[in-house]
Amino acid sequence: MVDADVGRALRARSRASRVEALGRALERLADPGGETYARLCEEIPAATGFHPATVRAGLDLALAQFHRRGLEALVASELGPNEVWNPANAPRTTAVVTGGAIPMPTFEALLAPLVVGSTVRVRPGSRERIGAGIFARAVAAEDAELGAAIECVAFARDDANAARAFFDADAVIASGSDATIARIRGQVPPTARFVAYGHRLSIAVVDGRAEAGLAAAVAEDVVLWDELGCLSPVALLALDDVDGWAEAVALALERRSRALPRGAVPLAAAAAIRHERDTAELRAAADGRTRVFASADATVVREADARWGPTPLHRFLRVHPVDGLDGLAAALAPVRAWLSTVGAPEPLHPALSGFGFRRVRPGQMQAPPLDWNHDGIGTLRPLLPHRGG
Amino acid sequence: MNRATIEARLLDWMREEPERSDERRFSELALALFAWQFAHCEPYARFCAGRGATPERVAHWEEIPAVPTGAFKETPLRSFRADRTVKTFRTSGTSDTARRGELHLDTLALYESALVPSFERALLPGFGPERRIPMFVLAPSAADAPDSSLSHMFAVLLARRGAPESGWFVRDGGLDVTALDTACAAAAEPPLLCGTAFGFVHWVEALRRKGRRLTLSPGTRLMETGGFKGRARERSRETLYEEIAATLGVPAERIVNQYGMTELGSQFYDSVLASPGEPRRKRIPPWVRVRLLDPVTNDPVPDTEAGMIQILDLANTGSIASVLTADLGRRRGDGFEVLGRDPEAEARGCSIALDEMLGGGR
Repeated sequence: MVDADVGRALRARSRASRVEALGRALERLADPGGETYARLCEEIPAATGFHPATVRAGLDLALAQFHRRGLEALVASELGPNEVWNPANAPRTTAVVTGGAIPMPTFEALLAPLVVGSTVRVRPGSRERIGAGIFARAVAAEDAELGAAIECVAFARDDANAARAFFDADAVIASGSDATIARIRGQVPPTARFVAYGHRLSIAVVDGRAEAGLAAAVAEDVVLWDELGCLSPVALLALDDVDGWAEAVALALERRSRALPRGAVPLAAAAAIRHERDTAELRAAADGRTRVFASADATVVREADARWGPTPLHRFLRVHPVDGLDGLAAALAPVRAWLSTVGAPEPLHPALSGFGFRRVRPGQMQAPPLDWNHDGIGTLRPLLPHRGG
Repeated sequence: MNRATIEARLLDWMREEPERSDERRFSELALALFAWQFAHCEPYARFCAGRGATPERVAHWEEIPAVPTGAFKETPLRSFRADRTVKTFRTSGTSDTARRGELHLDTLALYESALVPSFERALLPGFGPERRIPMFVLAPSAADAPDSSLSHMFAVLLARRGAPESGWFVRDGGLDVTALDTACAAAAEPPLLCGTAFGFVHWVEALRRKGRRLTLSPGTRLMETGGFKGRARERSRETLYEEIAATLGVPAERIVNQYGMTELGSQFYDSVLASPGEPRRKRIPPWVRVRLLDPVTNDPVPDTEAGMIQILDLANTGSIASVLTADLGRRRGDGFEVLGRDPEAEARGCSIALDEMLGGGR
């Protein structure tokens, strides 16, 4: 339990002071030559099963966005100037439940309450369980008072008393599957603000003739974090030359996987990959248009149509043909509610502007700036729903 | 060996008492059936040829390529002319975007012959062949769900072993709880309750809402099948059995789970009634082989480890006999246990699998 005095001291500080200290903590975290960064590189592979080289590449790209200017941009974009934000609306205590396999969402979930002046207690997820502790130490190293406002706790899922105490907070931030979110929602007191980041998916879109550089960029987005992040593309939709793109991306994935090998694949995921590969091979035998490009660490399926299929993740990419922007719109319709980010070459961005999702260049999907509109909800805003009130 | 000969020998095998495992007979029939299906199902032949597996090269039944269950959603896998189809069973679809798996049949004789002995050995051990039992089915009737293999199976079993008071209790898409309670109370002897796991969930919850508990006759048997994927009220099988015991008064040792799928002609039942006191496991009919495979190497896993379930079911004469499921299982003595599809789902990344979003996907 964080000491009440710590909470009072946190709230008594100006937001600018908190942001300044947190900005330094982010830069400590993101310093490739620093001790904190080294710990991330060392501990994440052991805790998650990702290959060390893949972790390093993922951190290099994503943490380049973690700096004071980025944090200030986030605060400016979501909270606006001080005078229109009423600090009285801020939660005093926030409980955070992290999910997924990669550390950046954990960092952002811990950052948000501290920015608005709330203490944080966090229960790390079962797979990504070290990010919270490293973040807390990075904050404490820069600002002991802020560091004392973070508490990492662990308790068994069926420990009802511990769960009740944990969720007894002014706000709860949770990420995970729909089932996880529903389970947590049932434990959150009705008076608490509940900020839920459910599962999302991302895709890539390309047009024109297949081109090796762009294919390599798409492959990079797939390889990083083994396609397990909600910003990892699970499908590539090709407006033209679907055969060329499938082959080029498969080749790029195979090449990149030599430098950044895929990490551990759980049995169930390996079974799903095998099942989907074999199903695609049978489809290829039946329709003559489907093609399967399988390498040791990756699978690319050139699909015959734009119909969605199961996504086993762990570097399994379906490449679908789509017939123009109308075809793209039709293809996206069934998954639109879950779409997070689309990786597409910049010349395509204006044509995709009407779709409403975030658009980034291929190769940059895993590097969202701190002020990205997380799931359309934001990062800080949901903690202060009555802005200006 | 042509298909008629294969089927005649299989029918004889299915009728044998007591049941008898026969490796030589299985191997002979499996290789003959592979040759038949290779010759008569073009997509399967191309699939096999792509793996270098032709009837000339395959020397052992373990080398027969398995088609994934997902393939039954992709293309008609039949080893006979399409115009001879007499029945098509379809997997349940949970959304408009989901394609449904299909099993096409040109005869129901083998299908129906395969399902009876496994059921009787698992649910009615010690019963004479003519003895009938009240069977209350928590599933739609075959008339209401003509493409459901499960409803068809129950219809066959009701006709063969059901006492006059037997009946269907899912009507107009809902469970008729009042009629079911009444039927249980009026049954002349302990009934056999059979249906989908989710049907039992509905029944238990309906009773709980009313604050009621039933104490069914001690001899009551219960058979449930199916999972909870995509359902709002997911629960483990252990939890369901605890709820059934507490609400219906049927203990876990009298509850038999059936593992079956539309794509297969044979089913697998828990051993608890047939072999009381022994560890619960799925029994394997003599004309079926179950392998547990490493999904990466395709090699069998050691007996203590989990693997992907591959089934070679000789009752699948009209489609494809060797099927790779998406389920994980583990060897248990002379049988196996099913571990489900994705026990590690919670530890997966934050990008949800599309099939979960779309309720079944491709």
